[in-house]
Amino acid sequence: MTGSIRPVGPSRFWGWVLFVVMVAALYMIFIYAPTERQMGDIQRLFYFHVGAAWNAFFAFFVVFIMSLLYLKTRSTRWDVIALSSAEIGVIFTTIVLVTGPIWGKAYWGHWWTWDPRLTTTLILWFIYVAYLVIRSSAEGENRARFAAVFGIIGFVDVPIVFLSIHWWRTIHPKVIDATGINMEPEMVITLLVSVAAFTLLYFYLLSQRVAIETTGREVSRLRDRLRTRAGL
Amino acid sequence: MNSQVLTFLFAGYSLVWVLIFAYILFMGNRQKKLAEELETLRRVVEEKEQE
Repeated sequence: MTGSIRPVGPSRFWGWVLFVVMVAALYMIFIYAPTERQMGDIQRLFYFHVGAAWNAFFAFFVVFIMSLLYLKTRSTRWDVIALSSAEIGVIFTTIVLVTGPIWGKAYWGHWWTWDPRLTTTLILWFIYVAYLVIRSSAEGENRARFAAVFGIIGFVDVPIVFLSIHWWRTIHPKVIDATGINMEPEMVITLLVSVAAFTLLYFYLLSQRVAIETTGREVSRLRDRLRTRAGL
Repeated sequence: MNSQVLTFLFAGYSLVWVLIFAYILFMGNRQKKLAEELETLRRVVEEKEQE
Protein backbone atom coordinates (compact mmCIF):
# COMPACT_ATOMS: atom_id res chain seq x y z
CA MET A 1 0.00 0.00 0.00
CA THR A 2 1.29 3.43 -0.83
CA GLY A 3 0.44 7.08 -0.28
CA SER A 4 -0.10 8.99 2.94
CA ILE A 5 -1.59 12.22 4.23
CA ARG A 6 0.09 14.41 6.83
CA PRO A 7 -2.06 14.51 9.99
CA VAL A 8 -3.17 18.14 9.73
CA GLY A 9 -6.49 19.03 11.36
CA PRO A 10 -8.78 21.94 10.50
CA SER A 11 -7.16 25.36 10.85
CA ARG A 12 -8.36 27.98 13.34
CA PHE A 13 -9.18 30.29 10.42
CA TRP A 14 -11.66 27.81 8.89
CA GLY A 15 -13.09 27.18 12.35
CA TRP A 16 -13.92 30.89 12.62
CA VAL A 17 -15.33 31.02 9.07
CA LEU A 18 -17.57 28.05 9.94
CA PHE A 19 -18.68 29.75 13.18
CA VAL A 20 -19.60 33.02 11.38
CA VAL A 21 -21.50 31.26 8.56
CA MET A 22 -23.32 29.00 11.05
CA VAL A 23 -24.39 32.00 13.19
CA ALA A 24 -25.55 33.78 10.00
CA ALA A 25 -27.55 30.68 9.00
CA LEU A 26 -29.22 30.51 12.44
CA TYR A 27 -30.04 34.24 12.31
CA MET A 28 -31.62 33.80 8.87
CA ILE A 29 -33.53 30.67 9.90
CA PHE A 30 -35.13 32.23 13.00
CA ILE A 31 -35.31 35.96 12.14
CA TYR A 32 -34.91 36.62 8.40
CA ALA A 33 -36.91 33.78 6.80
CA PRO A 34 -40.69 34.29 6.76
CA THR A 35 -43.05 31.81 8.41
CA GLU A 36 -44.32 29.22 5.95
CA ARG A 37 -48.08 29.71 5.39
CA GLN A 38 -49.20 26.06 5.49
CA MET A 39 -46.81 24.43 7.97
CA GLY A 40 -46.08 27.37 10.24
CA ASP A 41 -42.90 27.72 12.30
CA ILE A 42 -42.05 24.01 12.40
CA GLN A 43 -40.99 24.45 8.75
CA ARG A 44 -37.89 26.25 10.14
CA LEU A 45 -36.45 22.76 10.80
CA PHE A 46 -36.34 22.37 7.02
CA TYR A 47 -33.16 24.48 6.64
CA PHE A 48 -30.94 22.20 8.77
CA HIS A 49 -32.80 19.08 7.60
CA VAL A 50 -32.03 19.84 3.93
CA GLY A 51 -28.52 21.20 4.71
CA ALA A 52 -27.66 17.90 6.42
CA ALA A 53 -29.34 15.81 3.68
CA TRP A 54 -27.47 17.49 0.82
CA ASN A 55 -24.16 17.12 2.61
CA ALA A 56 -24.87 13.48 3.50
CA PHE A 57 -25.38 12.87 -0.24
CA PHE A 58 -22.17 14.78 -0.95
CA ALA A 59 -20.27 12.80 1.72
CA PHE A 60 -21.40 9.50 0.15
CA PHE A 61 -20.49 10.80 -3.31
CA VAL A 62 -16.99 11.47 -1.95
CA VAL A 63 -16.93 7.87 -0.59
CA PHE A 64 -17.91 6.64 -4.08
CA ILE A 65 -15.17 8.64 -5.86
CA MET A 66 -12.48 7.83 -3.25
CA SER A 67 -13.41 4.12 -3.39
CA LEU A 68 -12.98 4.11 -7.19
CA LEU A 69 -9.62 5.88 -6.82
CA TYR A 70 -8.53 3.40 -4.14
CA LEU A 71 -9.37 0.39 -6.30
CA LYS A 72 -7.52 1.97 -9.22
CA THR A 73 -4.37 3.11 -7.39
CA ARG A 74 -4.38 1.17 -4.06
CA SER A 75 -3.15 4.37 -2.41
CA THR A 76 -4.18 4.52 1.27
CA ARG A 77 -4.84 8.27 1.06
CA TRP A 78 -8.10 7.60 -0.85
CA ASP A 79 -9.09 4.91 1.61
CA VAL A 80 -8.54 7.30 4.55
CA ILE A 81 -10.72 10.00 2.93
CA ALA A 82 -13.44 7.45 1.99
CA LEU A 83 -13.65 6.12 5.56
CA SER A 84 -13.69 9.63 7.07
CA SER A 85 -16.35 10.84 4.63
CA ALA A 86 -18.56 7.78 5.29
CA GLU A 87 -18.49 8.41 9.03
CA ILE A 88 -19.49 12.07 8.57
CA GLY A 89 -22.16 11.05 6.05
CA VAL A 90 -23.66 8.74 8.69
CA ILE A 91 -23.67 11.61 11.24
CA PHE A 92 -25.44 13.90 8.73
CA THR A 93 -27.95 11.16 7.78
CA THR A 94 -28.63 10.71 11.50
CA ILE A 95 -29.42 14.46 11.69
CA VAL A 96 -31.85 14.00 8.77
CA LEU A 97 -33.47 11.00 10.49
CA VAL A 98 -33.79 12.93 13.76
CA THR A 99 -35.17 16.22 12.39
CA GLY A 100 -37.52 14.52 9.89
CA PRO A 101 -39.65 12.64 12.45
CA ILE A 102 -39.80 15.71 14.76
CA TRP A 103 -41.09 17.76 11.82
CA GLY A 104 -43.46 14.90 10.89
CA LYS A 105 -44.85 14.63 14.41
CA ALA A 106 -45.55 18.38 14.55
CA TYR A 107 -47.04 18.59 11.03
CA TRP A 108 -48.48 15.12 10.16
CA GLY A 109 -49.20 14.06 13.75
CA HIS A 110 -46.98 10.95 13.73
CA TRP A 111 -43.26 10.32 14.11
CA TRP A 112 -42.76 7.88 11.25
CA THR A 113 -44.47 6.57 8.14
CA TRP A 114 -43.09 4.07 5.61
CA ASP A 115 -43.08 6.75 2.92
CA PRO A 116 -40.62 6.10 0.02
CA ARG A 117 -38.37 9.06 0.92
CA LEU A 118 -38.23 8.15 4.60
CA THR A 119 -37.72 4.44 3.92
CA THR A 120 -34.96 4.89 1.34
CA THR A 121 -33.20 7.36 3.68
CA LEU A 122 -33.31 4.82 6.51
CA ILE A 123 -31.88 2.18 4.13
CA LEU A 124 -29.12 4.64 3.18
CA TRP A 125 -28.24 5.04 6.87
CA PHE A 126 -28.10 1.24 7.33
CA ILE A 127 -25.92 0.81 4.21
CA TYR A 128 -23.23 3.19 5.49
CA VAL A 129 -23.44 1.93 9.09
CA ALA A 130 -22.77 -1.52 7.54
CA TYR A 131 -19.86 0.03 5.61
CA LEU A 132 -18.36 1.26 8.91
CA VAL A 133 -18.93 -2.15 10.54
CA ILE A 134 -17.16 -3.88 7.61
CA ARG A 135 -14.26 -1.48 8.12
CA SER A 136 -13.91 -2.43 11.74
CA SER A 137 -14.29 -6.19 11.23
CA ALA A 138 -12.21 -7.12 8.15
CA GLU A 139 -8.41 -7.32 8.31
CA GLY A 140 -5.48 -5.74 6.43
CA GLU A 141 -5.70 -4.72 2.79
CA ASN A 142 -8.86 -6.80 2.37
CA ARG A 143 -10.63 -4.38 4.68
CA ALA A 144 -9.97 -1.40 2.41
CA ARG A 145 -10.83 -3.42 -0.73
CA PHE A 146 -14.13 -4.76 0.65
CA ALA A 147 -15.04 -1.32 1.94
CA ALA A 148 -14.25 0.30 -1.44
CA VAL A 149 -16.52 -2.17 -3.28
CA PHE A 150 -19.24 -1.63 -0.68
CA GLY A 151 -18.79 2.16 -0.91
CA ILE A 152 -19.34 2.02 -4.69
CA ILE A 153 -22.38 -0.31 -4.56
CA GLY A 154 -23.90 1.54 -1.58
CA PHE A 155 -23.93 4.82 -3.48
CA VAL A 156 -26.68 3.40 -5.74
CA ASP A 157 -29.19 4.27 -2.98
CA VAL A 158 -28.35 8.02 -3.08
CA PRO A 159 -30.09 8.81 -6.42
CA ILE A 160 -32.95 6.50 -5.36
CA VAL A 161 -33.44 8.60 -2.16
CA PHE A 162 -33.30 11.81 -4.21
CA LEU A 163 -35.72 10.65 -6.93
CA SER A 164 -38.06 8.65 -4.66
CA ILE A 165 -40.46 11.60 -4.25
CA HIS A 166 -40.79 11.83 -8.06
CA TRP A 167 -41.02 8.08 -8.75
CA TRP A 168 -43.56 7.08 -6.08
CA ARG A 169 -46.55 8.61 -4.34
CA THR A 170 -45.34 10.45 -1.26
CA ILE A 171 -46.43 12.76 1.55
CA HIS A 172 -42.91 14.19 1.81
CA PRO A 173 -42.88 17.90 0.81
CA LYS A 174 -41.66 18.55 -2.77
CA VAL A 175 -39.68 21.78 -2.73
CA ILE A 176 -38.35 21.45 -6.28
CA ASP A 177 -40.61 20.25 -9.11
CA ALA A 178 -41.25 20.95 -12.81
CA THR A 179 -42.53 24.46 -11.99
CA GLY A 180 -39.29 25.39 -10.18
CA ILE A 181 -38.52 26.06 -6.49
CA ASN A 182 -41.75 26.38 -4.50
CA MET A 183 -40.47 28.82 -1.89
CA GLU A 184 -40.30 32.54 -1.27
CA PRO A 185 -36.97 34.18 -2.28
CA GLU A 186 -36.00 34.83 1.39
CA MET A 187 -36.49 31.13 2.11
CA VAL A 188 -34.32 30.16 -0.87
CA ILE A 189 -31.50 32.48 0.32
CA THR A 190 -31.77 31.08 3.86
CA LEU A 191 -31.64 27.54 2.49
CA LEU A 192 -28.52 28.35 0.43
CA VAL A 193 -26.76 29.84 3.49
CA SER A 194 -27.72 26.77 5.58
CA VAL A 195 -26.40 24.40 2.90
CA ALA A 196 -23.18 26.47 2.75
CA ALA A 197 -22.85 26.26 6.56
CA PHE A 198 -23.26 22.47 6.46
CA THR A 199 -20.80 22.19 3.57
CA LEU A 200 -18.19 24.08 5.63
CA LEU A 201 -19.02 21.85 8.61
CA TYR A 202 -18.52 18.79 6.39
CA PHE A 203 -15.04 19.92 5.30
CA TYR A 204 -14.13 20.96 8.86
CA LEU A 205 -15.10 17.53 10.23
CA LEU A 206 -13.49 15.73 7.28
CA SER A 207 -10.17 17.44 7.84
CA GLN A 208 -10.25 16.54 11.56
CA ARG A 209 -11.31 12.94 10.89
CA VAL A 210 -8.63 12.45 8.21
CA ALA A 211 -5.99 13.74 10.66
CA ILE A 212 -7.16 11.23 13.30
CA GLU A 213 -7.16 8.31 10.87
CA THR A 214 -3.69 9.24 9.62
CA THR A 215 -2.34 9.48 13.18
CA GLY A 216 -4.02 6.14 14.02
CA ARG A 217 -2.35 4.44 11.06
CA GLU A 218 1.03 5.90 12.04
CA VAL A 219 0.54 4.52 15.58
CA SER A 220 -0.26 1.05 14.13
CA ARG A 221 2.81 1.24 11.87
CA LEU A 222 5.13 2.07 14.80
CA ARG A 223 3.56 -0.70 16.94
CA ASP A 224 4.21 -3.21 14.13
CA ARG A 225 7.79 -1.96 13.84
CA LEU A 226 8.36 -2.47 17.55
CA ARG A 227 6.76 -5.94 17.41
CA THR A 228 9.06 -6.89 14.49
CA ARG A 229 12.11 -5.65 16.40
CA ALA A 230 11.07 -7.62 19.44
CA GLY A 231 10.62 -10.69 17.21
CA LEU A 232 6.95 -11.16 18.13
CA MET B 1 -45.42 30.98 18.09
CA ASN B 2 -47.52 27.99 19.26
CA SER B 3 -45.87 26.50 22.37
CA GLN B 4 -46.06 22.89 21.11
CA VAL B 5 -44.43 23.87 17.81
CA LEU B 6 -41.78 25.77 19.75
CA THR B 7 -41.05 22.65 21.81
CA PHE B 8 -40.63 20.53 18.65
CA LEU B 9 -38.46 23.20 17.02
CA PHE B 10 -36.31 23.51 20.15
CA ALA B 11 -36.01 19.71 20.43
CA GLY B 12 -35.03 19.42 16.76
CA TYR B 13 -32.28 22.04 16.82
CA SER B 14 -31.03 20.93 20.27
CA LEU B 15 -30.62 17.33 19.10
CA VAL B 16 -28.75 18.48 15.99
CA TRP B 17 -26.28 20.47 18.10
CA VAL B 18 -25.90 17.69 20.67
CA LEU B 19 -25.03 15.27 17.84
CA ILE B 20 -22.54 17.66 16.23
CA PHE B 21 -20.81 18.62 19.50
CA ALA B 22 -20.72 15.01 20.73
CA TYR B 23 -19.00 13.98 17.49
CA ILE B 24 -16.51 16.88 17.65
CA LEU B 25 -15.76 16.07 21.33
CA PHE B 26 -15.37 12.37 20.53
CA MET B 27 -12.92 13.19 17.71
CA GLY B 28 -11.00 15.66 19.91
CA ASN B 29 -10.50 13.03 22.64
CA ARG B 30 -9.51 10.40 20.08
CA GLN B 31 -6.98 12.77 18.49
CA LYS B 32 -5.50 13.70 21.88
CA LYS B 33 -5.07 10.05 22.93
CA LEU B 34 -3.56 9.07 19.58
CA ALA B 35 -1.16 12.05 19.61
CA GLU B 36 0.07 11.02 23.09
CA GLU B 37 0.44 7.38 22.03
CA LEU B 38 2.30 8.43 18.87
CA GLU B 39 4.71 10.55 20.90
CA THR B 40 5.42 7.67 23.31
CA LEU B 41 5.90 5.17 20.47
CA ARG B 42 8.26 7.52 18.61
CA ARG B 43 10.35 7.90 21.77
CA VAL B 44 10.47 4.13 22.31
CA VAL B 45 11.43 3.48 18.67
CA GLU B 46 14.21 6.09 18.87
CA GLU B 47 15.53 4.55 22.10
CA LYS B 48 15.46 1.04 20.59
CA GLU B 49 17.29 2.21 17.49
CA GLN B 50 20.02 3.88 19.57
CA GLU B 51 20.64 0.65 21.55
